[in-house]
Amino acid sequence: MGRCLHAERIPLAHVSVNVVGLQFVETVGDLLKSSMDVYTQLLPVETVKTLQRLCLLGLVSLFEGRRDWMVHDRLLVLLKVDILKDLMTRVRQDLHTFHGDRCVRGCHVVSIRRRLVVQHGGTPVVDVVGAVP
Amino acid sequence: MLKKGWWGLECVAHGVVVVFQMCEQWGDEDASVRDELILTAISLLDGGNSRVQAVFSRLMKRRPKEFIGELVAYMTEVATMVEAVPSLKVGTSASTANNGPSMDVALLNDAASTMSGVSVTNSTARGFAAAVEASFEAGLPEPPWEAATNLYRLLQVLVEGHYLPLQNFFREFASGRAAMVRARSGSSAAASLGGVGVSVVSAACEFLESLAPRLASSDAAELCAQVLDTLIELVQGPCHENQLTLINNKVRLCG
Repeated sequence: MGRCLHAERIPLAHVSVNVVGLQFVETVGDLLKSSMDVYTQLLPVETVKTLQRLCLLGLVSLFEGRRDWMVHDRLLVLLKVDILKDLMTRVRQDLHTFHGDRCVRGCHVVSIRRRLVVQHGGTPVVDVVGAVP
Repeated sequence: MLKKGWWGLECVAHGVVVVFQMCEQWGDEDASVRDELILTAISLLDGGNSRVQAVFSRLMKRRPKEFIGELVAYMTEVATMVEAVPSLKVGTSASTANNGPSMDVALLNDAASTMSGVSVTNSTARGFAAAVEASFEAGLPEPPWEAATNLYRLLQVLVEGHYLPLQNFFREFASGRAAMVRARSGSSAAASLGGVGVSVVSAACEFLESLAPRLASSDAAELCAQVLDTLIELVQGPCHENQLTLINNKVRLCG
């Protein structure tokens, strides 16, 4: 008790410094990337979709209940956002291919209407997103 | 009401027996006993039985070295077997190139050149699958996919329903057994561990790093999905410390 902590400090010259970290975010990013190209050739479609869903759920779980920006900042550094963008583009493309133009337009209309109600108290603004053809 | 109470008691009693059996026989040579115990424990805990979780938690905390030590050692043993499988170096980060016999994409393309690959992706995938198959045919032991899936399922149901005491315990209690197993198997990751203790959360995350570039079969993919499920369950609730554990790098001084 009462000892000076500085007296016991180890000089850094005599020790090696290891950066030890769990690369969860990088791994999930890599898994997402490979699930969009190589693993689609090796694994059943349902399995690949499950993996993608779990990867995204894992990333979202990191944000759960947080009121600081720590996880957000780290994720921006560690994750390649292009992968998420590609994934979302594919999801949109699949939706379009599967349902045709009708459902995609319907989704956009619903989302824009909701946003209008929130932002402008229901006043219709035509050029909010410009997604409706 | 009475029936429900008896059922709860019965579950708790079974939980006690199973945990004690697991502690006693975890390190046993006979893997079938261990697998049966894991399946029994999953049945007891399935659906988030908080009473049995509480019993498991109390007993594990009473004998952490036996239970967590053996658990982490087994996880590391499976991870070492998985690392021996050829990997697919597709990632851009350093995580996939950490250890093990990873194969270059060019090498995989060469291996696939004998097959009729249409695109680069297709030939890479075929080359990777061929390399993995060849390694198993050459005598490389196939990792116990199903047993490992059951093990990670057990970890998931232990913290199902965001059971915070075990979420914290799996992060806080670090065992040095993992480093011993890695050193014994001559794995390159032994150096990075440096004899430092490894918690269940860390071991699961490292296992995911090893497994992610090696999904050549549906069994491996199923195991990967289960590991992801387990890690999700470990951070949900939310468990803020587990969230930070997964995203933070630590600077460690070694003498």
